[in-house]
Amino acid sequence: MTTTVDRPPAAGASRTLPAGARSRRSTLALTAVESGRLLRHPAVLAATAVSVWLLWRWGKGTAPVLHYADIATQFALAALAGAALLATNLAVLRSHRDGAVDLYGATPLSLARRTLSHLLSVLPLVALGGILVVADLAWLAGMPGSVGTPHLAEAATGPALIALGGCVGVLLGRLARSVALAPLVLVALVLGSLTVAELQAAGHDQRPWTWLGTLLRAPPFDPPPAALLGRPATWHLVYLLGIGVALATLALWRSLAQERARRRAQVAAAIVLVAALAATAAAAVVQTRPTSSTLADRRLAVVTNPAAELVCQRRGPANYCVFAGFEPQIDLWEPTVRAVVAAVPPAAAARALPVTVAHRVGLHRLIDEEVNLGVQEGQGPSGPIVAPVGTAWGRDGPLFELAHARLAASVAARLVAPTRGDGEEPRWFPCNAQAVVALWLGGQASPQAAEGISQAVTDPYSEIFVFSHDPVLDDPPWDVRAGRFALALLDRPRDQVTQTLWRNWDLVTAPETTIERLGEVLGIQPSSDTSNLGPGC
Amino acid sequence: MTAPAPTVLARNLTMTFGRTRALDDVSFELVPGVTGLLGPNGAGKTTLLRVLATVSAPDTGSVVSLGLDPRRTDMRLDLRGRLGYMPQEPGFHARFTAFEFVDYVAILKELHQRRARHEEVRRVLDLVGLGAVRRKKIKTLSGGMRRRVALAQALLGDPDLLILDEPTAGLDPEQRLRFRELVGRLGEGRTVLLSTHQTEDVFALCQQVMVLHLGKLRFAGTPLELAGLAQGHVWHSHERDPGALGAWRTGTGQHRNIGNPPAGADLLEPTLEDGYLLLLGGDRVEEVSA
Repeated sequence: MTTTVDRPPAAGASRTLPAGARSRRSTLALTAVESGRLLRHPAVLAATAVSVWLLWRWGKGTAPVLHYADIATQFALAALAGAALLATNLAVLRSHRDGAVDLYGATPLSLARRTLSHLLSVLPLVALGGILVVADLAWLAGMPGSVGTPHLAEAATGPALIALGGCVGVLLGRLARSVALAPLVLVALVLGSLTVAELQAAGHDQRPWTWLGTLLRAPPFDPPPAALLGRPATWHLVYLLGIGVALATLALWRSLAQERARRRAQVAAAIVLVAALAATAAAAVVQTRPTSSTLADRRLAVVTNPAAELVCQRRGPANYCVFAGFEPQIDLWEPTVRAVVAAVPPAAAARALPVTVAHRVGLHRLIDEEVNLGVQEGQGPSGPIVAPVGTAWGRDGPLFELAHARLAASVAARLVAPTRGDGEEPRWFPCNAQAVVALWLGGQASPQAAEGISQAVTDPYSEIFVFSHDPVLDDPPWDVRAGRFALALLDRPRDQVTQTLWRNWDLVTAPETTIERLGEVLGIQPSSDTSNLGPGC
Repeated sequence: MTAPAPTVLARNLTMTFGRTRALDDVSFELVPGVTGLLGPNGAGKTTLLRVLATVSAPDTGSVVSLGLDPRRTDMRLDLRGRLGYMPQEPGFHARFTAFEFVDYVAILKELHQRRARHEEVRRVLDLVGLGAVRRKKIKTLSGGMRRRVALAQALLGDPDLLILDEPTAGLDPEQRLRFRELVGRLGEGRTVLLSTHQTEDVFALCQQVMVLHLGKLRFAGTPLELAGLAQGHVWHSHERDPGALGAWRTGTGQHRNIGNPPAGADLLEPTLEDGYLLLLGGDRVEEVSA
């Protein structure tokens, strides 16, 4: 050991500051240490990897709709929120777990300030969440076909959840000394949030109370225009932040009470708590209000009179009608449409073109049930017959492949059986040779379309041939034999099939031509299974 | 020469846990220098030290340390900034390095300036001889090294009042010798209160000694005065004296007896331990002789 015990010159330097300033700076110094340990915690590192992977996985190969992508970031960051809960709880309980309570209790930095340090230590993790969200949305915005604008409140909700997780972890640590409590609470929160999110996705207009949950899914798949979503994102963010502030204040209040702090400090904490609860309650009430009549009317109009909501432009063989702001998606559809048209004899194509490709979104979950029934009873869509396409588009994954297949098959159906007469619907059911030819044509569009057709063949109710804007209206199921025959054709050399079909085009596309007759023309024996023909066949 | 002004004034301290009176109307004064606190297990030593360290408050009574009354919040926090406390079980964060742990406590002691704080941490670790292992995780350090880490954190900020609860527990003789050297030097110009079971430590280090037993302060004075309580009450014999309060066989084969000696007994010069044992009375002495 050294022999020197001289009084150090630096030891008293800190004491020259007033007590309040000293405590504040010490709180920040402790926050820095705790932040560093939090960011290096194994749970946080693992959750960061999971969040990054989810963001990448969900965005990869998609044509992003940014006012949906911002919602998805909340789910991706939920892992970080859970890690924040666990890691902050362990940090708060560290002195109890290791038996250092007496040691800490003899130091001047008060329990309340230590609690504050733990609460503030989550902020760098919140910032990390914000960076991930910004990076994700920037990456998505640069993708081909990217449309829409992220909502600031939706984008901020994920980082807010991280802050909320940290506040829960700190409060649990101040209420109970058990390390088992936080994981149990986390499991309960996850199960509860997922349950509410599922209920909410089923139609939040019918269940406005589900907005009191934390994670709030959007209706699955095809995103409507942002103006039709009707999500009270800003108030929901205020709601979450209000809960976080309330929980943080409770933790501080508990600490002040435990260390016999001055009454003035406890009263200040109580005032902040009341204010936070009031803000939370106000936001809870506002976000659970029923949908405005204006928004309800506009949603109904999109379903019953979509032409009024769409903007159209002609490109080559097709008219493309899209929701305003979704024009970049046309670039993604064009190759599919052109590929299908190129597979049809030019003369036949000339008779059928132009095809109208128009947006269709599944708003039925956002519309009142009474209105739904009214539409089903015959109000129906108005305007020209179109090949509908959803707003969700991408390269990879079964759902996107089905979207490719639907667009290709719907365009092909109009080329195979063009509208006869002004506004008259094509009089055919997706059976017989027409269905086979349309499916084969659709499979020529792209590998994704061919894969989507293969998926659809296994499910005759999967809605390959779509004639209506309104997904509530039942599109007729189609003949599985036709699907299997089409798949067999797709396995054949393209040139060989093309030559035979073009040579016999009028015959193979006639409404009365059966699958057996088509088989004779092509030299293929169709399946003899007559089950699952569907009501139209 | 006038006596130094007391650093700590404790009056009528009482603390009860359930039915157990851990401190029973304890009053004393501490002056600069090293004061030893002796007592058997359960005597109330740790309770008293926790009160002096402001970790807990007594049920009744008062204590003023360094002119500060810890019943006032501002004074309590100020006092904590001027004292160093080494608990009996410090509660190390095993995954921290020695440096990180002492640095963490330094922040809690409101040494907020990073550079100055790190200099101070290095200083105290060097002082206890752990400068070379400051980057090692605490879980890899020996028991003796961990005790020194605990002492190092108590020395942060150059405290005016140092409270050490059983600092030499678990140390081997060489380590205890080093500890005594360090604490002895620390006592110059500071007030050190040192609780221990080891009477040799008190004899070697302390200018003053207090004896606590069943919550009551049984003695306060110098080590010589404590030893003097046993003057004329210690003798040796070939066999254990049945009239002795307690006796044990020494390395020479003779028996050392404490109590009321028979006439003509071969009296011995009492040690501090003799005075301590005699003070605690029959129960404690029987415990030693068994």
